[in-house]
Amino acid sequence: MSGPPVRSILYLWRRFRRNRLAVLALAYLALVHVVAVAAPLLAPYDPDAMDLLDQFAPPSREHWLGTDETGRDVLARIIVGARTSLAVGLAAMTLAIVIGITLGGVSGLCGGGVDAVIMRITDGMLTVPTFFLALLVLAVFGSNTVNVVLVIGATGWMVVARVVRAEILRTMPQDFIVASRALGVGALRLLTRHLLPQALPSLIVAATLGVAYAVLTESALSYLGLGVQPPTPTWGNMLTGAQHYVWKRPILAVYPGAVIMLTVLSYNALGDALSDTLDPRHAGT
Amino acid sequence: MKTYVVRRIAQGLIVLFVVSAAIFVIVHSAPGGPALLNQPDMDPTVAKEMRQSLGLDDPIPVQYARWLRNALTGHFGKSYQHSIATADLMVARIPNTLLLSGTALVLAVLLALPLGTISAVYRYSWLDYLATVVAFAGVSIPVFWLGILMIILFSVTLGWLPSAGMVTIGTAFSVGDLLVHLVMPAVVLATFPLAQLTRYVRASMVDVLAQDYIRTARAKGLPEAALLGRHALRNALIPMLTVLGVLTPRLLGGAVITETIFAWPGLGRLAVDAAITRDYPVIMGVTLLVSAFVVVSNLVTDLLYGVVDPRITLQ
Amino acid sequence: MARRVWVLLVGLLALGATAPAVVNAQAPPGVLRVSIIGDVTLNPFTQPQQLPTTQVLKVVFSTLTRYRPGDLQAVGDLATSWQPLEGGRVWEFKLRRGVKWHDGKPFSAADVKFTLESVVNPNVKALFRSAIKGLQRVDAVDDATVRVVMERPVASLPIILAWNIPISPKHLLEGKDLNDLSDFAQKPIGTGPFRWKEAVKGSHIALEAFPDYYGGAPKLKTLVFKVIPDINTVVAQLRTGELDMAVVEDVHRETLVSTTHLGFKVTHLPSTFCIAFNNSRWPFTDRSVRHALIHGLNRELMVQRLVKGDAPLATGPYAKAFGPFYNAALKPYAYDPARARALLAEAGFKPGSDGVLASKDGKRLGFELMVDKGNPVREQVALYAQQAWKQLGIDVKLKVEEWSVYIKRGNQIPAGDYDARTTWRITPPDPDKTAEYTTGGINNHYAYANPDVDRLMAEGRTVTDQAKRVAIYHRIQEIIYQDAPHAWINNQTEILAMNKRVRDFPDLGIRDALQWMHVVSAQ
Repeated sequence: MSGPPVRSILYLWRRFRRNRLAVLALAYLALVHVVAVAAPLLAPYDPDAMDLLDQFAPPSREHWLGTDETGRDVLARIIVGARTSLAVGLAAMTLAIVIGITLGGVSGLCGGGVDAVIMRITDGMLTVPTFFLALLVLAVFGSNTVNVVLVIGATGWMVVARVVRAEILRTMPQDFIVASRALGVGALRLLTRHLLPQALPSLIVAATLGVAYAVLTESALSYLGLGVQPPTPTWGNMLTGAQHYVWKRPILAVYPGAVIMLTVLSYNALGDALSDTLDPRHAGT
Repeated sequence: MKTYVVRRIAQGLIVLFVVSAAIFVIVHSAPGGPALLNQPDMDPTVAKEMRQSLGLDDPIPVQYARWLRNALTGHFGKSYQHSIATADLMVARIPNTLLLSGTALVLAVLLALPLGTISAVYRYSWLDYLATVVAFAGVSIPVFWLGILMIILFSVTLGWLPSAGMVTIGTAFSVGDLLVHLVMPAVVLATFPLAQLTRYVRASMVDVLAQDYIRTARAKGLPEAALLGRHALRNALIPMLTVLGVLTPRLLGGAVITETIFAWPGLGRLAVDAAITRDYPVIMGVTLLVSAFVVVSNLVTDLLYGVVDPRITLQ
Repeated sequence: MARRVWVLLVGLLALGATAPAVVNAQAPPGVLRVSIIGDVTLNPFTQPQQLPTTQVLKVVFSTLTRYRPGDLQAVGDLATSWQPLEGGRVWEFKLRRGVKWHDGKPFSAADVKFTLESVVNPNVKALFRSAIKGLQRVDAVDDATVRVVMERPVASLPIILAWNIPISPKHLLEGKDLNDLSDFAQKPIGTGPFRWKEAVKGSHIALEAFPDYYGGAPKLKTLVFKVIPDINTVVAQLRTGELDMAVVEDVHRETLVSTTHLGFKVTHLPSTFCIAFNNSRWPFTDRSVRHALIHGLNRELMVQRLVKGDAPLATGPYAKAFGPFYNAALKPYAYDPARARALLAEAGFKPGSDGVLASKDGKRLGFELMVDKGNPVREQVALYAQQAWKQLGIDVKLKVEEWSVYIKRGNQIPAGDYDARTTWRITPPDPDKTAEYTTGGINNHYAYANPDVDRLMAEGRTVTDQAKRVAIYHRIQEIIYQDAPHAWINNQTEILAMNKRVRDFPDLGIRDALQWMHVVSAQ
């Protein structure tokens, strides 16, 4: 099987392009990710360098967004913070997808008792208020970057598992799968070569929404002091730090809050547009 | 139907058992231990005695078995931090959380229905775009950030609303006073479900409006309002019920944050405090209670599903 | 249809705009509202949820002694006078007559005996047991006289008893399991100026004036403690007038200064904030390294810009608030990076290939700095120290720990499980620091050991002559200053934001001022 022909990608793009909000979101996300990757080159200052003689400086030519409570350059911290925030978001999403594909795949392929057990676990996880669970685990085990990723990833895989399982159940009876199985193609190969590509559109959508969920969750955990810990800057913990100075310099809370919101919004808008574009059932609208 | 309910309840109980065991192990294997035993002024021998008398030196399975036995008889133990029964602590706060979450949910549904409908009816108009952007913003905004911005605006700058608490302390209770305190937390908590629901109402209205029977009704000259209200909305409600089921856990998660910002004396704040101070009995009690609540509400949602849409049979 | 949509939207907006304006936020005269950070359980022995519980207990209960506004000297509360016998091993307290419990029963020497003996009873898990460790027994000589018999002389017993030992009613508690006073703790009976009225968990505790208070009826009618864990909410409520009084940080004072109905009171506390070194661990075993670390910190700038609150630079564990016992002759170590480098070079450290200093036997000069999570100032201080020490060529790793873990790791004897940590210790204004600075002391988590200090501390406990005591403690401060077991940063201060309707608030930190609430009034 080769990839989709160029023509069809162009066709999808043309459909996608009609959604102006999604195009804007994509442009913004492209910018943010480039900034995150190139952060060390772009950051005007060392994001951790304090200058106690220049605290709470207003925006100026030297500090475009001013400085924070310890005289650190806010722009530099936003830029470098993009790295950790997006890395946490992407890593947590990847983890969620991997867990989801594994469980969903096993569930769909094996069926029977295994399927029932895995699906009950999935239901169970949807039953627990996952945010509370995340908070609990971080409160007792300590919140560092790795734990935050693990916890967000481990509480965000359920949708993926269901999507993958549903897709497998839908695809399995089709002729080419039946034929492959008859020819003795292994389960793993079947999954990676035939079944997952079928689920790809839904997975892309789930992944996009997953990043939005992860970035938002990290910031919420940060509010409770359970996000990524200082000195590593993330948008979430910048917001937490700024929260203590919200009366003195509310703008310090506005910057990271705004980038978090824009990023999450863009991922949500993108996911929504992708589901419209990629899902044939929504074609032609 | 009956067997369905029985089976669902059995499944729910299994879920609760697994959840409680998992949480118990997680919490008890954490480094540090309860804050109660880690007070800077505490005599180390006192700490050791307390540890022993709380049974924290026993192996974790033994402790869990003991907890489970007590929990089955309705005893959740005494809070380490509050020195009163966990059950009493929770009972005192359940109404507050229900009031807040309930108001938020009602607010969200009442606003989402017209907004989503308008969006769907005037698809691709500027109204639709506006509603779409607002809905996306609603699911994307960090809850606590919104809360802080609202406090700055409505309490400090404008002085319209109290910044925290449930009632004005020192005055006689009045419903008006309670409502004034409820406005901001409820709005903040409603934001996420409102945005989510608006999207779903729009989507399902778009689907429904494209159906043949709507076209037929319209062709017959049925007034637009009656058409939307009586036919379209009723059918659009069905998918919304599933969403409500999914939203309940998220709403309770949001309550954790909202109650902390607005000092609302509910279960969410109790949970945060318990997690931070490692108040084991309270952590266990709240987790179990909240999970049970979600299990039940999911069941109710599914049953309602059958009521709203007679085509669905539960098995 | 479009018109109808408009009507709906406008209607919704109108609904929002006509929301009722906020009810009058200011409390009526005679009602005072103070914030506490968490719920309380008013068990006077175990005092769970330490800080808020102790705060409320101080208003409901009385102590034998309390601190005098201005100079923190011990003056009478339930006791009227006292004198040391047998060189300070036995203390005789004369008790106030005519004192009533909130239930109308008379207070007597039996209550004092019951309380103090219960606190040291091994079956009672009293939080502050260690404060009066070594108490052998209490003799009620008559209804209004007790003799407290200690194992060894304790010169500062009257100061210690003012701290956190609320005298509890024997007639209600005798024979009860004092670790589990659920009923009593929900509706406590004390002898303090305010008695319990109502409590709503997670919301507030309301107390009302006790008309039969021995010092006369309190001026306030109602005293409310509001449970507000979030400092931003506290600030908002101070601004709106929903709260009359709260301890705030300097950054909040800066914002609140423009609020015309608020005033501020800065109190110097008898405690010191520092970066404590684990003196049993390399490299802190080397005194020149400790000195170099102190010289390498611009502590003046740190205090001015991060700690703030008009806090003075510290020279050791003693602060101005200790009155005559404070040795004002000591001057803070100077910020002198050149000297820090020279000291490290003398100690044999040379820069390695990565710029980090290494000892003669090739050990990299580095350590972990632990800080408790959640307090921005302490986190900033740790971050700043990390950067300052990095410039000397020292590799410092920051470790932010949950409070429970921070305490568990740090508070161990003979040494905590940490290299260095930010810490502070709130104690009574008692110059006796045997627990903290003598070899094997129960709160000596830093493994500090100096035989001269051990000897002098022991001597200080037995000497009751004021001038001699002062000399002893001044000498102790000199020795600790030279040993530099920690990098001292500042003596702590407390900023109390207070509505101007509050009158006659005593010149004390909030904790001690709560023992004088009967004199406070609110317009």
